[in-house]
Amino acid sequence: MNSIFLQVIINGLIIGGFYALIGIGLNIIFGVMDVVNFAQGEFLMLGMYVAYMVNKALGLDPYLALPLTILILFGLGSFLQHFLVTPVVQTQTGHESQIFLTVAFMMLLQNLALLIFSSNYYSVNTAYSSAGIAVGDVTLTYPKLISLAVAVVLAIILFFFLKYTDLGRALRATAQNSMGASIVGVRIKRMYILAFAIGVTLAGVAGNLLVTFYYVYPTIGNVFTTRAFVVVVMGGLGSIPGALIGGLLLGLLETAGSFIVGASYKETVVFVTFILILITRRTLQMSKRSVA
Amino acid sequence: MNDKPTTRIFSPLKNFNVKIGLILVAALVILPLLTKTHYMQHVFIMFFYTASASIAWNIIGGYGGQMSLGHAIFIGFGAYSSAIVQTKFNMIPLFGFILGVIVSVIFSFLVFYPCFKLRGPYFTMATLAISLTLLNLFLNWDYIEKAVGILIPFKNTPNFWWFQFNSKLPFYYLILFIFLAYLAITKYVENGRLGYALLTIKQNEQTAISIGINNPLMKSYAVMLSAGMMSILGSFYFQYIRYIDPEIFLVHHSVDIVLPAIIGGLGTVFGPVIGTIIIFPLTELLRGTIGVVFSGSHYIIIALIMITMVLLKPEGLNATVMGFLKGIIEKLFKREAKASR
Repeated sequence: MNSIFLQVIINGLIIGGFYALIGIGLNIIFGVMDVVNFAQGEFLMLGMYVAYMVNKALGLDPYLALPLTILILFGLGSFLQHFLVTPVVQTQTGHESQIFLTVAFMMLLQNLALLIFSSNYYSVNTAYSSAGIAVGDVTLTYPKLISLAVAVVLAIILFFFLKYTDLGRALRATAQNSMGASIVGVRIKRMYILAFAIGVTLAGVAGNLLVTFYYVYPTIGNVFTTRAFVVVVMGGLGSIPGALIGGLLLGLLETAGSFIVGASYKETVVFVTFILILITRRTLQMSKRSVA
Repeated sequence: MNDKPTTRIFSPLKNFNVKIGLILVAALVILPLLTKTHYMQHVFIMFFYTASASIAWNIIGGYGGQMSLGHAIFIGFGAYSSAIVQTKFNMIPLFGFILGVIVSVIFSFLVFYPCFKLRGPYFTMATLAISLTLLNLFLNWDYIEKAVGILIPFKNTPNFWWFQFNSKLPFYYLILFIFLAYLAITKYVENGRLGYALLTIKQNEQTAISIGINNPLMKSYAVMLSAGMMSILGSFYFQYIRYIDPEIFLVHHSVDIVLPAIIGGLGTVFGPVIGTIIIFPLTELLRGTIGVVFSGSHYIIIALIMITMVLLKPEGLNATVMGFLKGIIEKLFKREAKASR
């Protein structure tokens, strides 16, 4: 019993790492230009299909698809931002237009995937799929370990990029005050492109890494979009460390929760968490205000 | 010709707009009698069903400025209430309509009130999450037959209280009545306390708060009204199709509801109607042609239309179409139009 629960916790933390990754992507996009990307999960789905196709057509290891995934998603993200999102962001008054735009991306990508790959579930099998190392009573399969390691390395690279490079500083400046940033010479439109491209690439990379131990199907994006929402609501919209903690916490909650109430009610556990956080955030905000 | 000053007593029949409106309503009443095919009557019913759903969504989505991507959940509540009342308790559908409205109104208040207390697009995120959760719950719920769904067999004799008829006409007139009533409700909301409160919140939240408008409460009123209206449509849908399954909670059903309002114009009385006139024949056509050959392909075209609309005409086609129609009507009835000014 004890070891099963330990296994559940480990699995929760691993999947939580990926929730954190797409949550960070969502947060970068929101932080820089106040856009909630409702198609975040669909870009993850895209990453999964790229890895699946590379494995299927070329017979390569799914991890070797990573550069291609990054290239495709970064390019697609820049294209969408430059031609579609930026014009909407600059003219919109409320949130309606941008929500509608990203929902359109969601429908477009989902149904394109349905058209090309049909609604079948696919999985990628590698020689080391079921192999793993045992630590005490807990088994860690290699795909999960490698994926997690790559995710952590990428997150660290991203952190240093944002913190210490000029481009990263410019991006953070835009997030803090876009008017001020443009006055000191930051090209806002380029920052928008960079933010959206990084945001969706993170989702795509998460998808590429997940494909080694997760099924891929056209509507998988819905599952991860809602997870990304919960992550950012937990950590606060716009906060990257918050998203990291939120992701790990959600992974834990979800696997522990579905272990207790049954796996078929996983979505419900996630949603109840979401509503509870919405309510508690309100009380937190109020208590902060009364202190200040 | 008639230079005598007209009497100033208000007479609705003398009003030009009312006249046009009455002519239109009369035309809609006669419309299904002109066609003999059941398919066309079905299309008319689904047209008014879609338009009514979009009108109901528009109250929170357009006037309230809160994009809901989960309004199909209230259609689900209405439909399932009607189904449970009939199959499990053997009671007439009317109770299902009432139960659905009660459940929808209470649910929408409990779940969305916390979202309105936070700034930002939390409401939209919550609606998306809720519809997927309900999909999950209903797929696993034994009582309502899980993914199989609930089907009501046709009784041998048509019966008014059980909403079963030999012809489609009663359904047509019922949905026409609902449609006109929803237009009236929207007009009433627009010119009433709730409409002005929502408009103020949308334009300047700080001002709204400082003049004493309770922001979360007003938005909650709007979402409760909208949810109740949706639920009635859900019960109607179930009575008409006589089948419901948890697929109703899928996101694209909610997008189908939102689409006409966006294309016509958010926060206008006739926007959703105009949007439905534009998009409904197209979706019906695409669903029947390429949608059959390649599953999902008609949603690709709809998504492309959505993107084009947001980029080129984010305020909707309402003003353009209305201006155009006014031009035509004024040409047709030049004298009357002038007289009414």
